[in-house]
Amino acid sequence: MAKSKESKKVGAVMVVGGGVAGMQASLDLADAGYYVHLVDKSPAIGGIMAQLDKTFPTNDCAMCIISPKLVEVGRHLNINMITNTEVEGLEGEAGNFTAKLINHPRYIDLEKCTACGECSRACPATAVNEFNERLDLREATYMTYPQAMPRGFVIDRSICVGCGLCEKVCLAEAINYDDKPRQTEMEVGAVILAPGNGVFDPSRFETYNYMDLPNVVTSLEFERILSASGPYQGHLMRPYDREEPQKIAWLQCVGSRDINHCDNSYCSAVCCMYAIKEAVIAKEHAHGELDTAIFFMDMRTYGKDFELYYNRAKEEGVRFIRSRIHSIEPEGECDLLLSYVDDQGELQSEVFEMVVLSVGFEVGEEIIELSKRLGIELNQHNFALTDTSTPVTTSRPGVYVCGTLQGPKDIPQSVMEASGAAAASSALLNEVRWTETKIKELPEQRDISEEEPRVGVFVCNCGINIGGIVDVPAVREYARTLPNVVHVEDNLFTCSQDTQVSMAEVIKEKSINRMVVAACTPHTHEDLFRETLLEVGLNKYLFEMANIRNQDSWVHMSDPEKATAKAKDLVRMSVARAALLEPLEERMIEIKQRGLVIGGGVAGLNAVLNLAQQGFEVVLVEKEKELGGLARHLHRTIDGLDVQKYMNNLIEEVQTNEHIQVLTEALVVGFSGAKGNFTTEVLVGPGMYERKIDHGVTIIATGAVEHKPNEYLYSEDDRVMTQLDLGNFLHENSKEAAKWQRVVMIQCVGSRNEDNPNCSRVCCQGAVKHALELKELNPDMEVIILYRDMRMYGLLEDYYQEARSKGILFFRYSADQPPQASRNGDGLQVTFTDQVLNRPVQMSADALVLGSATMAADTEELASLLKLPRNRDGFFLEAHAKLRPVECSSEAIYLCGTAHAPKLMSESIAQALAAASKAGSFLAAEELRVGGAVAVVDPERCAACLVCVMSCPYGVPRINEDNVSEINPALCQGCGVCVSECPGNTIHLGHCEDDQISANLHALLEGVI
Amino acid sequence: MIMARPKPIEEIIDEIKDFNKVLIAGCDGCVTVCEAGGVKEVQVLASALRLYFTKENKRMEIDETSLTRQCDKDYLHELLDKIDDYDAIVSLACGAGVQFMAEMYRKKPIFPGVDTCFIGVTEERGVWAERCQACGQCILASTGGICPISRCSKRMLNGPCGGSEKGKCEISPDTDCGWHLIYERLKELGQLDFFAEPTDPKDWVSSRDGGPRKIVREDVRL
Amino acid sequence: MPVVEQLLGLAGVGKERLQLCWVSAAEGQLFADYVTKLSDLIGQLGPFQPDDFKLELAAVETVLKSTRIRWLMGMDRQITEQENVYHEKMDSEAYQAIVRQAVAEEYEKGMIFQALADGPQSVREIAGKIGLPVYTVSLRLNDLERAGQAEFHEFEGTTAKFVRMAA
Repeated sequence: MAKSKESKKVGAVMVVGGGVAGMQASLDLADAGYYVHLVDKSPAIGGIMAQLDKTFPTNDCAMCIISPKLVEVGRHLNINMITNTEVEGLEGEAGNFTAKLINHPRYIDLEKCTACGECSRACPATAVNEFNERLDLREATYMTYPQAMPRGFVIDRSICVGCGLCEKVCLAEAINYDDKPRQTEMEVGAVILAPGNGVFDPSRFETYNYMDLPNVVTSLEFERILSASGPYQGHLMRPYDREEPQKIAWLQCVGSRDINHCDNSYCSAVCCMYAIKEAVIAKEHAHGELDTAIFFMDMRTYGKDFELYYNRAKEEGVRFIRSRIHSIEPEGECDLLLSYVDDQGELQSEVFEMVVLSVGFEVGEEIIELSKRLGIELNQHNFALTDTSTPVTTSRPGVYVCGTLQGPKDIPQSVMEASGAAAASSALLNEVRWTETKIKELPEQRDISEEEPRVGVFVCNCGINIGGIVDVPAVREYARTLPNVVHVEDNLFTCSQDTQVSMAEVIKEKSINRMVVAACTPHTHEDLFRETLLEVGLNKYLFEMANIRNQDSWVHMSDPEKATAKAKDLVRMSVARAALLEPLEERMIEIKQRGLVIGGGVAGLNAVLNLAQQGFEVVLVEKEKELGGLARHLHRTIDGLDVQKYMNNLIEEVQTNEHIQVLTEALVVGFSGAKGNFTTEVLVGPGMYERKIDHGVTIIATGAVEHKPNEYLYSEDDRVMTQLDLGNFLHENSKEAAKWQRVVMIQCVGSRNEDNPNCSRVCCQGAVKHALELKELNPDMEVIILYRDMRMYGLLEDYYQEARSKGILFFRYSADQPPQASRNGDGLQVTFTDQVLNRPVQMSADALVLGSATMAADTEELASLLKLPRNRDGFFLEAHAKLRPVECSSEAIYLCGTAHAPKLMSESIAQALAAASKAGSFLAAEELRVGGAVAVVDPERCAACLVCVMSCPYGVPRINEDNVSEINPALCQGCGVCVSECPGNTIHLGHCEDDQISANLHALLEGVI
Repeated sequence: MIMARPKPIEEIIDEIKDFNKVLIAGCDGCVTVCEAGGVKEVQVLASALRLYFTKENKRMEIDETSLTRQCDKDYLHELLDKIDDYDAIVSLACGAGVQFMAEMYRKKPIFPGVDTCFIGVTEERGVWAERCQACGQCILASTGGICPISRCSKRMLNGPCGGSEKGKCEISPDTDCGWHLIYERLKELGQLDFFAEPTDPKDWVSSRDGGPRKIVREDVRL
Repeated sequence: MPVVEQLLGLAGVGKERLQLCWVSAAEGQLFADYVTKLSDLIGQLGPFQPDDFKLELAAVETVLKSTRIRWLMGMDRQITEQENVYHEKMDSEAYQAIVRQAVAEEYEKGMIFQALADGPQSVREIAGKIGLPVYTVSLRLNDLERAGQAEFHEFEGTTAKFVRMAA
């Protein structure tokens, strides 16, 4: 008799792919109470983002912003990183899947490997280094990149000859040649697909001669060239002769918007921005004047602040040439000749010293196979098939998708979708939250207040990294002579598991109450050692680290004697400080288990619904009488979603959900408190009765509005309307519209100008959408779109193609020669300068439709109540443009939808889910740990001078009712600025007290002064 | 608040160079707020002096303390049991505090550590500006809340002089013309009729011109 | 021997100048024949001027001293006749190909390393000095950088100069 499958859901999730999206989804879910298995087929997570040098539009170093995520993922108790592994199959159903994995052998035991690198240095076999995009070589035994997580090496069996040298040199005995592939199974409740994509291989383009010309590189290769950890250490050089190029060209749309050399008709959405970024950064690196030229068809800088980035690049001298290059000819020994036709129709030729091919995304065979194995449907371009209204849901229930497999997109979009997928998983699995997670049981902390300091010193050899230069035994014996020291030892690897065990024993045996480890940097293992202390019943702040590796043995390799003397100094300093370390209290405060969402449009409704589905109480505050926001005025999206039907369903779901309270005609009039404990005052209804809401998190979804133009005869003539107006007109009066013979549309009305330099992102697709609708109504109608750039990014490009094939005409106009609208008797006329004929063309029109800008809603009061910064255009500022696109800089306040920046409905929905995910993860913890190494004001000497209030970068200190400064330990970030600035020296920073720092210095200068 | 500025350290070194044991005494009042003489500045100054004298190979012991205020005898009393340990005191209080300390501890040399500058306000972190010259007869009611005594370089009472250009005083393009500010303010308040008649001459006896001043309030005396 | 022969070929010295013959004490005639043949050969080739090959020979020396080549050579028989650490026997031809490739790379690196003894030079300067194609020098120099044996020094205008590091 068949056993019925247990319908109980599993509180664990499998995330496939450890790129930036995979990591974000994992962190959200692990924080929210689910156990995460993060599977990646590479030996290290990080994905493409780890290969980038800088990221647009902030020009942040990619590794710098991704490193904290790498470390967090590696450290998280509830994330299980499974690298070198692929998913073979997925059985079961939503809530209860069984995943079959195949773990490929690494041949190195990660538990033992300390990443010292000796194996790699010895390895005699080499192969092309894929991480550096084949610009250089790597060994068979290698670490993918220096900051790789999990931290450790791997043997590439395909080129390893099996000579055994690495085993001989490995002091940690981590090499294991007998490692075998293993098949494992895992029970999970949901799956998130974030495998990313490869980039187009340009060797298919014969005319670009990519394979034959070393100075023609792909954009990813260029990233590696610019990167300080790349093959050229960040020096701008070209591969052929390592000279710094003086002229570089970027060719856009390589492998995208192309149905000739390949089948990738879509736009890859990121290449315009990354080409500009590479050009700008290359100029920074260059010693002389670097001439950069970008050859493009449409400049798709559509995101938040992207247009400003484009403008700045133009000011810095980056040339933009609208032309698609056909071939790259070799010129001279290693230069490159490009020919093109310019705007005037003249043939031009230019010789460049380097050409970068802006390659687009392409879903590789491996991913297509993976998708088949997981049973999800792909669209015609092999991206995951999703719906406009459910952008992270695949065709298989319980399997979600995010990142570039969902469609071409940039990092912020990927991160948003990743959080969105986490929210969807959490809604599915919320009844089994916290059932699979690991909790660490820690013993009670011993009271050491009556004890004399008893310091234990552990000096690490770090294999030969320290021991090979510094005389570790001498340092150890020196430590024995220092005051308060009751135990010394040296270890081969102090961070190894077995050392932790023996350390714990020694601490108990000798009643050690302060621990000093002389080894590497606190950035690597401070948390590990603090954990060891906690496990032994000591406060984690009783730990001190002396960096005798990064700051000693690694930089003084040529002078072992002096390096040893320095190590002794460093240990003496740490021991002196350690004796004065005090245990610090951290306390738990309750997080109010309720969310507040401000704004009831598409984003707000989705956010509130998902939070409710995650099991939380939520209150939705909407200032209008009706819910729905801007979507009330939309009828269909470009991919055919019936917006009104969707909205009606959504509103009903929200109104009937028992966890949701809806307040319409409600205005926020007061806001106070801090993360986990907010209080908002709302005036509700025409009666204006007051409500006080206590909540733990806040989500801003206040939306945007369509700009009402003051040009082109708008509001003077009924035939001139915005796209929104046209949408309504088509819905109510399509018979009238069908009679039109010619419709002219003008793009960029109110955008990309001096008053509003931004791009409003959605107007191009709005125009194409309506143009296609008009053509369907009346195929004989002439539809003309006057544009500056057609920003049909990502999969929208297909609609652009369709429009052209249906005979919709596109004419470009330049910003300095905008079209004119005029009346001629009863007729309406539009005049514009055609680029090809280079003369004005006048046409009569039955309707003139303006692609009007999307502007931020009026949120001045709300912003000042919540103390949330907005940019100069009134859109709310996120905490970080790339990696924290739904968080505000004030903790526990989140942002989604067009309140953040103009975007498509599907993008708003994804961002709303992301905000709900973050909000849910925060609430799920139920308690907040505050205190520890934070600043505390001693009110006695406080002169209320306000210096701390003025200097705190986080705006934390407040003058309280007693007229002295007070610092909320929940908000203090422990940076120490107020402590050093206080003129009365009356603020103390836990773990950085004056006496501790003094002891450090006096120990250093012992005998000197 | 009284605003002061730390004295150049060379001056302070010159003040104490012939002594061997010196106490630096800060004040938790006004000089703390303008970051010239609070506990932090005491520590920094003491450190710097120690470094200097060590380098010079001169035996010099520098100790640190700070008093709640130096303009009240009760607080100055706190130094009573230790003042004899020192050869000299450097007080970082304003001029009033330095003098009061000197009056109380007549046998001990008391040196000033700051230059007391003016009565003023904190415009922003690190920027303090003069607002009041303590003339003793406040006329702010009629000048729109802007004082011509402290904001006008020539202390004029009836409007700007010919040196006022584009709202700035002729002595420096960074100095606002006080009367220009007053004019604009009176315009906003609708009180431009102030300029209709010349003002009466000011009685300067209540200002410093009348000699050292004292306030005696019988209603609060014990 | 194949390694040394390959190296002498790469150096332009010619592998014929070095001969390995196994002769037992009882094979006197064989010995005489070998010596006569060699003398004739050398007579044809002409005298060997080591000074003309200073750079090349120094490079050959570094190759023969390198751990990578020595280990590969040392493990040859173990891996091709018995088993490697994965308990597999590797095809001898394939192994020799790997060794040859490694030797060629190490030789090129050795030449660049020697060339850099004269001070900071650019890729083109090095290529001109040692007669290797520019792109090859670019790639092998990168290998030296990775191993910490060479380093970027500074830009002279837009030309990058490299220096060698202590071995």
